[in-house]
Amino acid sequence: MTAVDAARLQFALLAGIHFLFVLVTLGLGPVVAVFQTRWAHTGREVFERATRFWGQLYLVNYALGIAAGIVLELQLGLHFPGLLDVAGGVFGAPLVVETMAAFFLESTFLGLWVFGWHVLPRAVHTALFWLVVVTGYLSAFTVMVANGFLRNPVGFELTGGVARITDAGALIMNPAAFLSSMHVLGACLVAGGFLLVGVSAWHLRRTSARLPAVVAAGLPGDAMGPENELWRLSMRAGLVTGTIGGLLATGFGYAQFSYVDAEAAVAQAPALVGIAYALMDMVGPLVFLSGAVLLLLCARNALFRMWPHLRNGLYATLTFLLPVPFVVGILGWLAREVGRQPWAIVGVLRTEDAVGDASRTAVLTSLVVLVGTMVALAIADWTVLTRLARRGDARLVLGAPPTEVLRSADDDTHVLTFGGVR
Amino acid sequence: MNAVGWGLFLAALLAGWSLLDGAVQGGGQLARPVAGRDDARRRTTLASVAPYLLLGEVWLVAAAGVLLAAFGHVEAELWAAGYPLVVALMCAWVVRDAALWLRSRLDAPRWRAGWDVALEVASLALPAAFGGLLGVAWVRFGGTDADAASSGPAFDALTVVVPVLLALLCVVAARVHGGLVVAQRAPGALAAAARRRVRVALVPAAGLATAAALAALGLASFGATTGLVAAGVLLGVAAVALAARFELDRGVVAHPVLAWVGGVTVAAPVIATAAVVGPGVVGAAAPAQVLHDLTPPVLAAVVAVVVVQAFAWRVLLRPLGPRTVVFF
Repeated sequence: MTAVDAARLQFALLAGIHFLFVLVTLGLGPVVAVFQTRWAHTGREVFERATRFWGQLYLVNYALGIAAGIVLELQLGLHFPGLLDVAGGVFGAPLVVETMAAFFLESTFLGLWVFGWHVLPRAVHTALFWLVVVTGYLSAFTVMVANGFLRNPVGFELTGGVARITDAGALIMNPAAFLSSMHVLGACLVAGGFLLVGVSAWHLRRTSARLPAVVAAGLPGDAMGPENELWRLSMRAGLVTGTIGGLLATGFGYAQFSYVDAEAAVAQAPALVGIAYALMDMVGPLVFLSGAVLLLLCARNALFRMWPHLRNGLYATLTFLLPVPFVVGILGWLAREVGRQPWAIVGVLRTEDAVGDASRTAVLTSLVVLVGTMVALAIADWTVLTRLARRGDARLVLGAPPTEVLRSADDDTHVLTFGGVR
Repeated sequence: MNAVGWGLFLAALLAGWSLLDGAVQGGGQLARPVAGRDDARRRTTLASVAPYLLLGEVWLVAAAGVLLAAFGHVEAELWAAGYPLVVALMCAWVVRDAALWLRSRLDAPRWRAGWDVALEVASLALPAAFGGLLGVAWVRFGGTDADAASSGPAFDALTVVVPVLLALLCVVAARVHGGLVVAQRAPGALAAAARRRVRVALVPAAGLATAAALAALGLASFGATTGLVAAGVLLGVAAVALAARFELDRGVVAHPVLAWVGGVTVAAPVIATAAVVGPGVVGAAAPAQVLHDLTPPVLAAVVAVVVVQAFAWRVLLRPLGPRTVVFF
């Protein structure tokens, strides 16, 4: 393996890890925002629980997403300085807008949302989360503008081997940025939908086990019981999200062939890119169609009232399928990046010319250290997410009063008394 | 904005990061020593620096964005020279973040204790790696004259000593600053424990600032004339740190020196670096046309960010109370 290969592999692995968290952030964000809006609007307790439960998963996922994103930002200068030398003036512009305008604001809004929970009026607090969602999407779009420029460079001129922007509008409206953003947005909504549906289905399936009396009587659980309102609500929300996502991902996926030369991309790595294309062709429409069918079943709550064995089989399948959008999402990303090779910027800069002169040993060492750290942290994060998802809406920390959080599990006294300390 | 404007902007972002994230680094270093084994006390300590995390670390992300867009050559050269430090910075940063976010999510005592150790180690490593990179920048972009630099062991010694000194200074400065933030926001007993740790750290902070000032003078003797400004800044900080120690020794807890010493100490390495490397970095900025084109969107963003962050600090920075959110 050469230093170039090691640098590419490191970037690919770190970008892949980052993207897994992005899928959830962008897919779950709007749903949490809608839950909170309905909570603010109706004051119903189930919407509060939905906001806090899904908001907590959103945050734990976001934590590693931001960390992985930071690592990725520094990777460009570390291993691909040629990219900055040639196209820093073009490629850097969307990235500086991303960090300054979108991400800076997103993180600030999110900090206010989490830590201002008991201080801010409900309407302001709700608006803050919508701002988190909007700035998060803006952030994703600016990254796609930068990435789209690599795939389909427009709106620039090369003078003396250095690129500079001549038409910012063309750069932003680049089909490789705009169409692909919509495609990625669809994929994110699909991932969010699968998460909502998978977790809700898991809870609905074990509903019989939750009530000892029901188990003792040998009766199937009642998915329509009031204790399951949160999961029915989340399942419906997930189906709507996933179906919209399936439609967007499929439609804009095909629209991308207006600028992508599919045959050339497949020829680049037939096994990988070919399989990725075939799988995306299959999964996208299938998600849309099955989502639509399941949405029809929501009429008169048939989805929750149908024959218990069929219902539980369906729920088990839906939980089992949770990883699908993540696998497909990674394949899609790989297809895009591998399909662009051997270019870093198509027709302008070859990848091998963009790589710096760090030694092979140095790049391999940093690969092991950084990817090892990120994988370990990601596994810890997903362990926590799984445990929190299974725990359900009991003992939610997000939005709980401090006295409740700080009460130790084995001891019922408050360890610390707040207020009036000074 | 011209290159000087962009350089000042970069320095402001880095100083802002040191000020805000330094509180989290210091809190992370001190959570175990200050709070002891009791979990609720540890969580209260972390809660007093928690709002600084999301609102602070973005400043460094933004600085990296500015570095990438306006000073791409500087970033490429600095990252190449300080390659292991950049990798260490990334590792420490992600471990620190993960430790804060994940520690309290599960109840198992060993899970929490493990993350607390990780948090303490990462909170030491993060400012150390950052300070080390500042030191590499001093040597690389200090404008030292090439003939003097290539001759003799004295300069070679400085290329090692400067990064080490700045790394240690950043670590201790974060400890002082974070400890004082905990002392200001946390309830009585924790505040007193935090102040004791700060008192111990103030003398090393003054010593390291003085040593860094001498190193800056050393660089100045090799042609990095703006090192004189850096030396002045660092000596001033050393004096403030000693004054703060004097007040704490007298048993004073509310004094202007104590209110300022944390912020001044933690921002000093960045300000001194801006002085040393300013001319060199500004000289290596992107072409004027690129800087000009980037200015409108970035300035608009700055206005929005300043408004939103100012609002956030008004809402979030109050002493801990019944309405404080304990999430970490």
